Amino acid sequence: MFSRSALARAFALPLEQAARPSLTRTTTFRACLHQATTTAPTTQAEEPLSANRRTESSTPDTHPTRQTPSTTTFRTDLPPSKQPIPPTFTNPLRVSQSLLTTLPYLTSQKPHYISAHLHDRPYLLTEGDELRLPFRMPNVAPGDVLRFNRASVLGSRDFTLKGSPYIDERLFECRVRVMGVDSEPLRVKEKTKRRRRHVQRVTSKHRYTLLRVMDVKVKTVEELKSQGEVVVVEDEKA
Amino acid sequence: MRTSLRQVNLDVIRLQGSRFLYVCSVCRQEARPRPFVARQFLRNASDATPITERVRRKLWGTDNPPGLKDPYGGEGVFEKKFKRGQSAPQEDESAEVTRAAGTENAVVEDALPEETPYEPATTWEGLQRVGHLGRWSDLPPSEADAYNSFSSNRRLTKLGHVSLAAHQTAVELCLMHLLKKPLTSICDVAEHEKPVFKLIWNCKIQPKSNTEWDSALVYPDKETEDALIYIFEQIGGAQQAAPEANAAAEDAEAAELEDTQDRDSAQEPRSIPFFGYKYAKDRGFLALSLNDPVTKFAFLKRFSQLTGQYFPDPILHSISSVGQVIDHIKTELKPKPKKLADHLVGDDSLQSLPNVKVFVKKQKPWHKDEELGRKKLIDAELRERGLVE
Amino acid sequence: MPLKGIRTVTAARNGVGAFILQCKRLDFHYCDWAGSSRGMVSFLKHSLPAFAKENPQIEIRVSPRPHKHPVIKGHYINGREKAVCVRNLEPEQILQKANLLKEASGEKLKRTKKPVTSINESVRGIWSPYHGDLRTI
Repeated sequence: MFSRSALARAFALPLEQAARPSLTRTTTFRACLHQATTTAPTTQAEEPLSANRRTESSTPDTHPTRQTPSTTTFRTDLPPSKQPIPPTFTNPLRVSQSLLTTLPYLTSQKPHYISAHLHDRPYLLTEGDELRLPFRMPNVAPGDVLRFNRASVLGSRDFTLKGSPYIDERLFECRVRVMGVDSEPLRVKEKTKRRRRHVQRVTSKHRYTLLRVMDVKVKTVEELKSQGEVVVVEDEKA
Repeated sequence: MRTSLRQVNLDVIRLQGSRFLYVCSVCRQEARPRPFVARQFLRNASDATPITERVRRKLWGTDNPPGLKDPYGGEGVFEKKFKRGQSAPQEDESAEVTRAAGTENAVVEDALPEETPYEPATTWEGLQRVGHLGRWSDLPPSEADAYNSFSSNRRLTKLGHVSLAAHQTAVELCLMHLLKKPLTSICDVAEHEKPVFKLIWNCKIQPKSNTEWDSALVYPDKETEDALIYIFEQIGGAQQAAPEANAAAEDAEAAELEDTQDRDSAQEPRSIPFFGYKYAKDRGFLALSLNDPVTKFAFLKRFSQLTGQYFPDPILHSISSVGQVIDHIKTELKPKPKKLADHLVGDDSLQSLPNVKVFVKKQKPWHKDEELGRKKLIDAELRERGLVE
Repeated sequence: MPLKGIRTVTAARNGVGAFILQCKRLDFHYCDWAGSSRGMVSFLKHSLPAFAKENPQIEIRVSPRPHKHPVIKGHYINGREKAVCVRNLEPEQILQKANLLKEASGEKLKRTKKPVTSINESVRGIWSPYHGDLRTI
């Protein structure tokens, strides 16, 4: 189980270089780092469900690797079905100069919060939070580590990074651990019809997946550079 | 009513004088003899004919109607009884007196010569048995009721003993084959003497081919061979001689003798079966085949006689060699563990796991106390307060 | 910079660093005689070794409980325990129940409306009208 947490660090994003400008606007007060709309099409066309969350361990085959998984190492302590999947990006991350200059402020100020989206529902998370999903996630076992890769807002006390609509997943790391499956008390719904002395009782008992947020982290500029040699493009407009 | 009665009584007493001791009025009333007289028939005491008789006469139209005289009236049942009771005791007394005199005389006559005091029996033992209710269970035991089982009463449960029995049977049957005797006649000898058994034990069986029983036997030396052949000649011979002799008395005697011998021999192995031998020396007999039905029958008969093991029909059918007999006995002797706990304890795949613990007994709350290490404390505290011994 | 309260020492939260399964022990109770334990007995005989091997972190105890229905009891690290009666169930169903107990958190079942429960203090602080710059409209 300890190895799973180390997984987070071992998970390296292979990013390759490409030069494209991006639009970023920064405001000095209550800094809102808006990620440009142009970044959205650069990320790979996101599949509605599976791209929303990338399970590192349990759903290995949802993303066929398009690029060579050069940087992901083969973990000998994990079975083949649980090997982390290398991310597949056709284009490198494009970051504007203004974002690059203001990103260290956000990175250095802890703690962070994130508004992560899962099935298009936002969950406002901080590190160590417990999250009870409103559904039971299939194909996960307790102890698995998931990485949320879609977030609309990412921020600290004084700075906020907003995506339009979403932040590029290469800018942050948000990992959650599957804790188990919870259940609710039995619901009994009484159904009646008029003029009929009969009450139908419909019961239901849903099961929910429990998650625990392991870390919420914004990557530093150095990390971005070392990972994928981020191309810094001057904003054309600003 | 009462007072008047008392006065009357007093009057009576006064009249009769002091002859009567005082008796209370109630008792006097009770003690007075009551006349059981049907008042109804005394109604017309002056009339000679009662009303029923008159009605009857009217019905018939004559003064002398046919039928019984006075069919409706007459004395009642109680009246008749009372009359008879008055007359009978006298007769009975006289009869009893005469009878008693007769019996007394007889008893005195019988008892005089014996002069043994009468002792009432306390148990039924020694008393004469008189009659039964006609059921078989009331009959006294007869000779036919005694049962001597064919096989030995003791079931051999050790594998070594079973193999010894199988070996002995195989050797015996080989010899019988060799001597061309009826195979089942070996069953007449329930148990061999110790030297004979030792001879048999020393023999080996090396089947050359599956079907040969005659030539399979290998003797350790010539002496053994001669001795065994001599002995087994006798076994067959005795059996053949018996019908020739044809003397019923002798037969019976012989049978009795054999029976007693059998019993003795059956009692002996109860202490030590097979004279303390534990295992058969060689394993060659396992390969002997039992395809010949006669041999198979003889083998199984003798084998079950020696071991007391029973073969069910389907098994009996499928057996084709001595080895299979032994295998069947092995499975019989090793029944599956019945309890699940035994099964789980015997399960290696479960026992090898470090996180599995199997309990044979039910776990109770004090087990938990013991596990948590507070049992001693609880126990000590209870002792201190005198709540437990 | 506004005033900050004294930081609480971080509470140990399972799963943030190391992860321990909530279920620490499963007790399997059966009865040798009763027919309602038939599925349980078969499960213990055939499926239990595989189940125990899959879950080495769970202690498994098997003990008889005569004249009672078969029961699986889960003991959790929060000190609670959950019991499921598995009378007249097939071995596969019993395996499902065992998995259910294995994955359960051990908490009492509650109906919650909010998906996120947090013990962290608010990241952006409580809003105050006296702090921050005035905005000119």
